[in-house]
Amino acid sequence: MKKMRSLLAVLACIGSICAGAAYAADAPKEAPKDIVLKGDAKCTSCHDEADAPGVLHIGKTKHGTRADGRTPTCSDCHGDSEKHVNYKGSDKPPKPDRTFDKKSATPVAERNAACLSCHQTDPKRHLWAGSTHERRDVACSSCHDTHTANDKVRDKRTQAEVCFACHKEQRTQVNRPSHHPIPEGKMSCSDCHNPHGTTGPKLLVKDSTNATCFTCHAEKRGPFVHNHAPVTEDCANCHNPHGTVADAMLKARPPFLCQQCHDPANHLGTIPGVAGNTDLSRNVNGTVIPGQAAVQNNALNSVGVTQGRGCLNCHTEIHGSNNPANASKAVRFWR
Amino acid sequence: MDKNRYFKRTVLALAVSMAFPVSSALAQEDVAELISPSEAEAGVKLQYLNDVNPLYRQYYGLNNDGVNGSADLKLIRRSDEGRWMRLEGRDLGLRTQEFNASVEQQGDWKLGIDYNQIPRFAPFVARTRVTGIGHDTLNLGNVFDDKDLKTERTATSLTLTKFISRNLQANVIFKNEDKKGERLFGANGSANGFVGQLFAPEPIDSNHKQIEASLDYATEKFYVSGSYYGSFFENKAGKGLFVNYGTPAGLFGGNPVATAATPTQMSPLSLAPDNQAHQFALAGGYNWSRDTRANFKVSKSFAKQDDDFLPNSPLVPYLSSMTRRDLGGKVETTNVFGSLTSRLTDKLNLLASWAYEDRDDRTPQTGYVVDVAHGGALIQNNPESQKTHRGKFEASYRLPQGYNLTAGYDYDFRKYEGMEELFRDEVTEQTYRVDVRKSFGDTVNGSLTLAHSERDGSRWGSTPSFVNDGVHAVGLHWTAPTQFSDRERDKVKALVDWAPVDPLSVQFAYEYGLDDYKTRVFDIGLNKGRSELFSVDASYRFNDRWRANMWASHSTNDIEQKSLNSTFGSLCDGSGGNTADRIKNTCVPWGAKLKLSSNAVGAGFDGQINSKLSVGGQYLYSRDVNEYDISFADAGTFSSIRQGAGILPDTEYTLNTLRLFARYAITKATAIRLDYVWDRRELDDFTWSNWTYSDGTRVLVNPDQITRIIAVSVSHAF
Repeated sequence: MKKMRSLLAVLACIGSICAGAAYAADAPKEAPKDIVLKGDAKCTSCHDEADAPGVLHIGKTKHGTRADGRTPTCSDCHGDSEKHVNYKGSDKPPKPDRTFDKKSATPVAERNAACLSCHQTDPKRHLWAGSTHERRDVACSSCHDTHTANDKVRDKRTQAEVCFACHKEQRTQVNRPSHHPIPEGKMSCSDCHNPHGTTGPKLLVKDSTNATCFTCHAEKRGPFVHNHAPVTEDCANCHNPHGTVADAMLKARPPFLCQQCHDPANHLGTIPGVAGNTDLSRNVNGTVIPGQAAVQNNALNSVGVTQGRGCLNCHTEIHGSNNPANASKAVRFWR
Repeated sequence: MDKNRYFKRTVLALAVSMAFPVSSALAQEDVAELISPSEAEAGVKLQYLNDVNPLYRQYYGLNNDGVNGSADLKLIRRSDEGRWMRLEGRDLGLRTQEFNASVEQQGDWKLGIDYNQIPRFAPFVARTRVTGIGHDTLNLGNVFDDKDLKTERTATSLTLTKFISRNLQANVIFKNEDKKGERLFGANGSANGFVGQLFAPEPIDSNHKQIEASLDYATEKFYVSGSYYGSFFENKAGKGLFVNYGTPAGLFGGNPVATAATPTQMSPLSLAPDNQAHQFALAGGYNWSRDTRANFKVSKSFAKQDDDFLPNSPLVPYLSSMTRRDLGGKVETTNVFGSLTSRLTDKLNLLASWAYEDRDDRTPQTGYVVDVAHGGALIQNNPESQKTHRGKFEASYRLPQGYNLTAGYDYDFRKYEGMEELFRDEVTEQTYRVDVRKSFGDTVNGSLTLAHSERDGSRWGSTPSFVNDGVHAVGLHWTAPTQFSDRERDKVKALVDWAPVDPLSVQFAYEYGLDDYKTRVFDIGLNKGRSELFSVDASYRFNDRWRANMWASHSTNDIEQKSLNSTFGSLCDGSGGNTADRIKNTCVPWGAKLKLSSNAVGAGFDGQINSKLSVGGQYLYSRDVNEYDISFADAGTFSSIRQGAGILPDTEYTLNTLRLFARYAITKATAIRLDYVWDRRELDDFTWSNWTYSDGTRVLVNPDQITRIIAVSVSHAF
């Protein structure tokens, strides 16, 4: 390999000398040619792969498809940058008119305007103006890398890493035992959220939380014979879709979650307990309770509302029941 | 990326091409490699899994220890005319396999197909003698066997995009998804008015079709868009789950034992009914000027649920006056959205938006149940209608030196209609926000947000009852359900980006939230919520070949709530002629402080040892600890609190995952990659400890699960 490099180097030197002599003698100086985009010679005559690794890779993207007349050239995004282009000094030239790196001095709105000049007509970006990300000065380039074919935020396996750069709480939550398959790369944040703006709350893709959840959980849509009010209102009343320690992404485990809303009438206020600690045959002060066994699998006691599925051991149809039976057990989401 | 490699190639090749015309092809070829998206690569992967662990396999779907083989392929072609062809397959041969293909004439049309499988294994094993799992009839056998509960989604999507003209675009997406398997469900065991709990997995066999079609006309000045969304859910698992076992005896005498052929009174449990929804929407936007834009959207949805009921039978006896054979469920939802953004001056920017939803449940009401066990009340189906308004007004002002100040006001209003008159008809929340940001062009950037919310509502539809009516225990209407209760909420969020030197970037984040709920009686229900998070991230680029990052976060979530320990039929007055009755009728106030503490650390690196060998690794540590601090009053000799109740062990979940890889390019086209995964998940959770269903089923969770995977992949580019 070294020999090959040496040979190439020699050939290059000879070639350069010969070519230089030949051009000097016979031909007028040829204008630099475009490499990727129409009119990019203005930039690529200086910025090649050596100067800026990856800069030419824009050719691998849709922006680099010259056959599509809508695609831009460098100056469409970076501005004409005449001071930068025409700089004759030996030190660093002034920055281009618009830059997109993290330390860019270009105002975010101006950076984004470069993208929106084309992309505002994209159906999924119509609501960018006024969206939370727009209002918080998030630049398109904060999430997107336009010079690569593998834009991290557009790959569901890596997208969440980009979102977690700001959404730290969600990064913690997705690693809890009950979660959507985001760490496993089978779902992405954008399955539920459109970061470019929506009419729904929390940038959800549909008009409401429930409408968004129903795109995958349509069996919960109902309506049912026996509807459960918080379910109808908002799935997020009980669930945290980013991940929880409690099963089924519940915000708190039953009976605590249920007791946040329900009166303590009858057994609803039962204090939680677990089988391993609890002696159900006597009370906390040692009084023996006649006829009671120490261990009972009973829906009405501390253990029965705490272990297994807690309250849901019996109130199975918590999302709503479509059972038409005239039976007491058909209500209260038992069957 | 090895930039020097490209530099040498590019510069040398260009130089060579200048000298020798014959070599110009070489230069063009190399430049073409840099700018062409075209690639064709296929790979096979053999991964050795040491052990199947329920927590790891949950979504990774690896359910066979030993060697698991899979294949990946990728083909991308772009012609000079701008015609793209993409074909990609991942994990082919595994439960997580996915495949997509598309053909596109950029700027004109695109046709794509996408296939995706998502498995979901329950993170435990059930040792059970229940038979018929996965079907709509469950029986009790004699032999206990280990069962995995799992569901698998298989989704196929077709997409079509067409630019009818430069400004007019049509999009159609059709998605067909099947979901099959079984999941944890359950039933009260009552066969003769007694209790117990049964293991009764729900059968899953459903199909969901969705179609979304839109026509969008957009110019730089305005856009208008019309769309249709249809969702069609079909449950093929049946209408009911028949549980042919139950507990005929044993209310207080010990563990109720389920016996075969003695159905629980809960049987059949209803399964999800078929339902459909259609939404029609019209949206538009107009740029009044370069600085002022208005958007609107109006949509109308029609949802229907008229799936046939379980037929009238001794197990499903209809009320004689109930003549319906289906619910006749109809819900019409109207959504209206409008927003206006305007940059009034170079420095002042305004936003006003408003969203309205009217969920009108038009399901006919009729009586279904005479609730004999609760006073003989006639219970009708309960259509629930709601109207919501979400308004937002925000002003941003750009201050000198790159600072930006934003003040905002949010208005949330919800009106309930048709709901039981127990709660509130209206709930209103108002939020005031201030946000200061410094957002560009310096070593330190950041933001600080403060928000204060106040929520209240109309008068309650019921008055707390302190009278023992002989049916209910004392305690009716004492609780303010969470979504109805008055609440004050304060939030602080701070984010600082610090880039002291070019290759180093550091980020600090702090979030704090405090919820203060106003209760109704005796502080029953949710009292307080508090959350706090610290986080630090750092990334460092050593050079063009090596980089590393790390992050750490600590968060806590605290909840305070109160209740009253009571038992079924308690009068809560301490009365009774014997010890058992006096204990039953003695209710005891108690409170719980629930604390969740989470610590997480992540670190990663990747780099190139030389032009052929690249390596990388990631480490993730996450630990969540739930503490349950329960306290209760001393109610003396006849306290209803059982010995040991109110003492819950902490639950702890610890995740440690190390992933390493090394990739070696054997030739320019062929590479071999080694992956190593070490994953340890420790779960200490009382959920299933010493828990046995009345049918004898036990749910087993391995508290310490170590998964090791060694994988070898070979890929070849064509």
